[in-house]
Amino acid sequence: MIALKFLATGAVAPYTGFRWSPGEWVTAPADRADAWIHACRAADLPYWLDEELWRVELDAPVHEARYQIASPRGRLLERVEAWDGSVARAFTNACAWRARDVALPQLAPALRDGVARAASLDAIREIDVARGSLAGAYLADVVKWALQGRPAMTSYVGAVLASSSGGGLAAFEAERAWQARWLAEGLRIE
Amino acid sequence: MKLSVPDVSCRELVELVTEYLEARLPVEERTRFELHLGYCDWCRTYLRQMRQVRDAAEELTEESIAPEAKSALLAAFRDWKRGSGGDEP
Amino acid sequence: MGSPSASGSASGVGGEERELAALRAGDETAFLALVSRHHGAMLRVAAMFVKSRASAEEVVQEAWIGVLKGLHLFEGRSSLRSWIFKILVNCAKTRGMHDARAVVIALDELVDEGPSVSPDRFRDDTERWPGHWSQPPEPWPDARVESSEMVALVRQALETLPEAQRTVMSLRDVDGWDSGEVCELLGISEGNQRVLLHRARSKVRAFVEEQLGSEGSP
Repeated sequence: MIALKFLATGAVAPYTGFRWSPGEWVTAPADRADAWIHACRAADLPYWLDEELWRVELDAPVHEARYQIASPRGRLLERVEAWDGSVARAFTNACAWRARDVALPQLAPALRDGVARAASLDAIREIDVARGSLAGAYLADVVKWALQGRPAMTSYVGAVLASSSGGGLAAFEAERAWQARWLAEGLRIE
Repeated sequence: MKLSVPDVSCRELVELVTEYLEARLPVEERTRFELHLGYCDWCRTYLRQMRQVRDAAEELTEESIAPEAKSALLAAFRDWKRGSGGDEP
Repeated sequence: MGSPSASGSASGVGGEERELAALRAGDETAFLALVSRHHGAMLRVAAMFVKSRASAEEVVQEAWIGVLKGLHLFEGRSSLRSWIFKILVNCAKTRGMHDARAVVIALDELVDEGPSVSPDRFRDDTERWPGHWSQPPEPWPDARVESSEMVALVRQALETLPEAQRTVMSLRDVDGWDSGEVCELLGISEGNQRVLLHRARSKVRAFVEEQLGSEGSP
């Protein structure tokens, strides 16, 4: 089964430091599910953002879980070159502007006009959006992380913002689904 | 205020980190743990530091035995050799 | 299955077979090498049962006499190392009772110590982002992590730990024992062993962080 996998620079697993060699099969003991090769379906991508995106092949049996899939055997196929610095920046900005739209109706009334008309994230930062609403505080966080160029933080906070007006985890996951659709389109993944 | 998120908090993570490194976290908790590392660089740093501490400990050499103790043991070994199975007090 | 010794060349089952053969053949060099390799760990384990350092040293000596006396009876059903340490623990417990010290593996160390990182490093539950770092850890410079300074700091930190935590972390991380071996030796459960290891490593990390941070700008 073909799937996707985010890795740190140099095709290195971000939490274990394991160095992948493209094309080489990697096998984990069948009874060590923690050591299995984890990968993403398209819907899972926003949860696992990192420097490099790779297409991977997983051998059967593939175990499907809520936020990822896994198999005891897999290999890197090729790099998804479309996921590069500029697409990451575009994604980050898209999440930030969407957060603006999500937060807007919940902001203190006096702030809404300025935020609605802001032409740049810098302009939003100039406004004390955190004043008077939780949504505004989250929006300020999103803008901060976006201006620092942090796709994973920006998208996470955006999803938390979406969950914070009563929709809970379902709203969080729905926002992640929006992010996944953006990525699928932007990276031309089906 | 409780967040409706699928991951653990940083404060929870630092208590789970040894279980994670020992591969003893149940699968659901491991997922919540890794979902958090997905975006939290600070916790990635903390995890890395715990590994660095463990790896540095591996480089430690153990305390050496004092020369007198070594001689005493050598003497005991020679006694044992001579009277293998003999009654040594 | 024998796990590789972190310190010393004789490792795994094959290595132990050679050691055993050499001992039985009266090879003095082999005996001294074995003694040296296990000395630190044996002292530390003995120290858990007896009152003084001098007592611990005597216990280690007695244990080796016991090993030699029992060598002809050793059948190889356990590893040589396990067998040696079992003899050691028996000597230590006997001596410990004589010293009127409670033969209890520091179960008081398993009492709740509270969180392993100070709560004031995290945002509290009334805030946005409850439980997230408010004073996050700074990455340590690679050059310092890979230096002998780091090893020295870890050694220093280990010395400050409560006994059972120091013993567990030393056996696991310094000597390379696996968790099953440590549990068997000390007579504690997996869960308890992991708690002790967790507290030990957390404290060592905190010590290193403090030392690396207190020397001016990174």
